[in-house]
Amino acid sequence: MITIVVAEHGRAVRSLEPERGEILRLCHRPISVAEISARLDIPLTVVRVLLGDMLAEGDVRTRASGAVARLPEKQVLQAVLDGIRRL
Amino acid sequence: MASADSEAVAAEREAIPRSVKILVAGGFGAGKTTLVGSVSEIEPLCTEETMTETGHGVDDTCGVEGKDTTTVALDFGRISVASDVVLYLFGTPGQERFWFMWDEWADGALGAVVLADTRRLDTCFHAVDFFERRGVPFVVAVNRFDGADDYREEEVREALDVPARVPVLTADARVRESCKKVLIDLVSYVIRLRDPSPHG
Repeated sequence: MITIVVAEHGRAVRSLEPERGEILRLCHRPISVAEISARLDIPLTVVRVLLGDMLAEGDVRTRASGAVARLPEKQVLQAVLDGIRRL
Repeated sequence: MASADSEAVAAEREAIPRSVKILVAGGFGAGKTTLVGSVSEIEPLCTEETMTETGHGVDDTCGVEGKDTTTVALDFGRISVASDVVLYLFGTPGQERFWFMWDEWADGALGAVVLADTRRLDTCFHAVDFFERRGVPFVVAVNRFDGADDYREEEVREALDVPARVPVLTADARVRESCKKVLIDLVSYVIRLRDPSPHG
């Protein structure tokens, strides 16, 4: 859901599937799967399937949010705390 | 310049930000989206999850007629807490019928805020119970509503049967500073749990 996706450099928007083109455009900057779903108004489940194909074909790279059920390490927690304080 | 550019490109290639999430749970109308909107750097977005309910973990593929497709809407916001860390806040529906989705939502969550509406405290029982069992650190934030009885934090703690270590605080979901305090208390609590030394 919060896996961050970014388009690979130089991947041209192909007109084969409009949804994939729109996803690729959105991923020009790093963006989460949830945001792609919300901005394109496509259910999360569908976005996941499309991204799976795009990942397999090298259109995008992803960064998963971390290992299953593991808390983020302390530096990340501290960054979150500092970031919220700065709001 | 050329080398600076290629360095920048190389740096950018590595720089997919790390994402973390906090869940904001609570009953219908408890103020989840209001809280998310008070601190989010973007207008809260809504995403829909369509899933097939296969019936409480029973691994029986014969019962196809018992399957039920449900759509759950999740409101969320974003805070770029550092150049390489993005925090997402997800308002998660508290209704019991969505509980089969909670394992996925809670997966990898840094922590959770249980937003309590004192007029309907019973809507928090499931969230408190789930986070306890699942070991997700959480705080209880009692949302102050106009016209609601002024509960003391200790009364809420008792009513919800929340362990003494869990922070319970009052908040106003409409007020940014108040929501910031809730999140600061939660993350501080998570850090204390990780590193119980007094200097941590």
